Amino acid sequence: MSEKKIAGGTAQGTLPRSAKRSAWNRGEVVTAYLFLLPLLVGIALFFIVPIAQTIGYSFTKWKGVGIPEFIGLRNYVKLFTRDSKFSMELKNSLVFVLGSIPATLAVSVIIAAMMNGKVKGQSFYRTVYFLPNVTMVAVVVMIWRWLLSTQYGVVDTVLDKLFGIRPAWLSDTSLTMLSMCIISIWSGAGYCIVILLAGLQNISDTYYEAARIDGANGVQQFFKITIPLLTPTLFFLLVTRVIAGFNQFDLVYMLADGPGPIQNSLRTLVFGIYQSGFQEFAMGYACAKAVILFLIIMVVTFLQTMGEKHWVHY
Amino acid sequence: MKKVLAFVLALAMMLTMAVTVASAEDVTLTMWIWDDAQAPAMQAMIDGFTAQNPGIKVELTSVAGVTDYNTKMQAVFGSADAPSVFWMNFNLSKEYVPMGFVQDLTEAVTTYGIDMSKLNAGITDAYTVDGKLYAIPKDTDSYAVYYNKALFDAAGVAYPNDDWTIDDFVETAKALTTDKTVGWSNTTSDRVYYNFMVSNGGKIYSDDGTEALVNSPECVEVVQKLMDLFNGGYAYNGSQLAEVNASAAFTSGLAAMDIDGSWMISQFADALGDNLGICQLPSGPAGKGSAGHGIGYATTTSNPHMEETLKFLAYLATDEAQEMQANVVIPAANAAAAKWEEVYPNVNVNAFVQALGYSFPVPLAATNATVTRSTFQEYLGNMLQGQYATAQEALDAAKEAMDFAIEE
Repeated sequence: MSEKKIAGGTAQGTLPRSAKRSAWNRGEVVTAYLFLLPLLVGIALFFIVPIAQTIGYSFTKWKGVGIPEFIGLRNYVKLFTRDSKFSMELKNSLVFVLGSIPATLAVSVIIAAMMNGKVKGQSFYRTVYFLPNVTMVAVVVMIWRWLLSTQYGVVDTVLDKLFGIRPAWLSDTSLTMLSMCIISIWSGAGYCIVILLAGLQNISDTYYEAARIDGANGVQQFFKITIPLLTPTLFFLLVTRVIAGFNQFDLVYMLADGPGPIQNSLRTLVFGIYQSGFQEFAMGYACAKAVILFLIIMVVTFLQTMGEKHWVHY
Repeated sequence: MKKVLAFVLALAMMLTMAVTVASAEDVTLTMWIWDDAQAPAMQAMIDGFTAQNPGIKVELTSVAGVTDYNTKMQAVFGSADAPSVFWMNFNLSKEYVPMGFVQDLTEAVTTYGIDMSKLNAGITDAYTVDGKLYAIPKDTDSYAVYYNKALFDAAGVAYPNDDWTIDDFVETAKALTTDKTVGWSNTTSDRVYYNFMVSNGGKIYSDDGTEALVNSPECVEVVQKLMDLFNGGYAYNGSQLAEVNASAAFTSGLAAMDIDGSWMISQFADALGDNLGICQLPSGPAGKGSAGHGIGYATTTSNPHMEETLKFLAYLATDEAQEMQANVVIPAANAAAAKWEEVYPNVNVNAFVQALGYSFPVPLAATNATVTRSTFQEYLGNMLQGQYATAQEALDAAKEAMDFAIEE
């Protein structure tokens, strides 16, 4: 990324190839690479090498320590033929991303748009909405456990008074995923709101002024001006949030106590990686799962970037 | 020139970070444990050791929670960051010993004169692989039935006595159940279910540990009785346990009985005071059975201070050191176990001491012990959640999955 920027900045693009090269000052190039070096070393050491190692270990039977034993594709064969947990993890990860990320963005856009106007105590609201984002997941889950408790929870007490129902949000396996999505939306919206607010403040007033003169009402302004001009911010959020969604671990870890149906209804890919690698001493197998997750995220992100030009307006 | 100088300086800084200055003379050992509640007792033992061996210091680290401890342990195993002395439990010894990272202590026992006959034999056995000892027994535990006297009085049910049978237990649980309280809290702990299965004459694994036997008629019969309790509303089912855990239900007076380990005693005694009763586990055709567990002190093969570490381990095996933990756990030293009894004079702690007599080590498979055990826990969870109509169906499914896990 940064390499491209510097190269693009120096060469104007109109010069012929040979001229371009001579136009670069040799010393400057060396200096540029020296500046990049810390970052490149960091990326190589902490990303490229571990990724390569993970791929390597995924072809082995390895306990996390000791000497790995090469077993070819057996880990992958097991993943797709005999491991019923892995199919749960795939399904749950997908359902979680689809169920929480679009809703988080929708909620965030609405709240951010409402806060963008001249609202009294705007910074207070901003802090309140951002609070869940800086609260530890463990604390967030403890609070929601209280709220959603069937016997003592506020939510069920209200539902019982209104409709006479007491859904078991955290133990009925058909509701647990929904509860996890709700908690995720609640705790993830704050971050999106802050980013979206910055995006909103970048939209020049002149557009709205022109629209008002043309007689557009608030709703029209929102859909014809706000949303299109917000798409670059939305695109950034969508890509990063989807990746974060696929990496969901802590909510599962906190919501599911021990092995059993509740854990199975929530277990995501990363939870599966953790369990195989660190609890069941099957690090090679965990690496194979990690490679699959890596591929999924890569494909999804690639598809999103492909689709970018169809709906993002710069 | 400036650039070169900057580069050299940067390099120098990196090198100083990499090289740790080694100080001679005093040796500092490191020790890892996973229970904050036991940290003061451990520190007392360390102080006792340092008083006798002034040249050796021990640095104690308590990693909160056994799960995080295991994760951390796995990351440092075989590296220089591994602790000199660490707590190890049964499951982990099954995983760690074959990896070759746990030091064989058999020789040290003779060299340092550790009297193994003074320590709990069951725990020693559990840490002995192929005749070699890999850990010094630290503590042990056992099970009994905790009950709330107030709820027994309110229901007009007589307190249980140590001769009671599993059928008596079932009937008592039913008699205690009201629309507000359940007779038995039930539990997600596999060990409690092992207790019932073993006292009914069942086995969890074959003797060589290569096959799960949880669907034997003896196991199925007793599990069906328990299933009838939690499906009939006399004990909590899986959904209810997910919201209120068993011990919380017991301390808040929602459940009249809780089958739990000796480590819960101080918490229960604080919460219930004089209303706390303790009774031995109910008997089955094969008598009583308590799935005992105990932590062991171990060290790694890569330990650079082996001599000092072995000295420390030898100290930890002495009655003097073992007694220091009597406030929190049952020490593995048989003599010190009596000391534990004195700490709680007002309750019938003797039930736990008696249970040490019919204790069996927590059953584990010969290979993939951790996965196989968590497989059983998973199927126990499924059963508690009502996924199976009968115990036969549930345990057949569990056996199949456990055998699969053993062979993997």
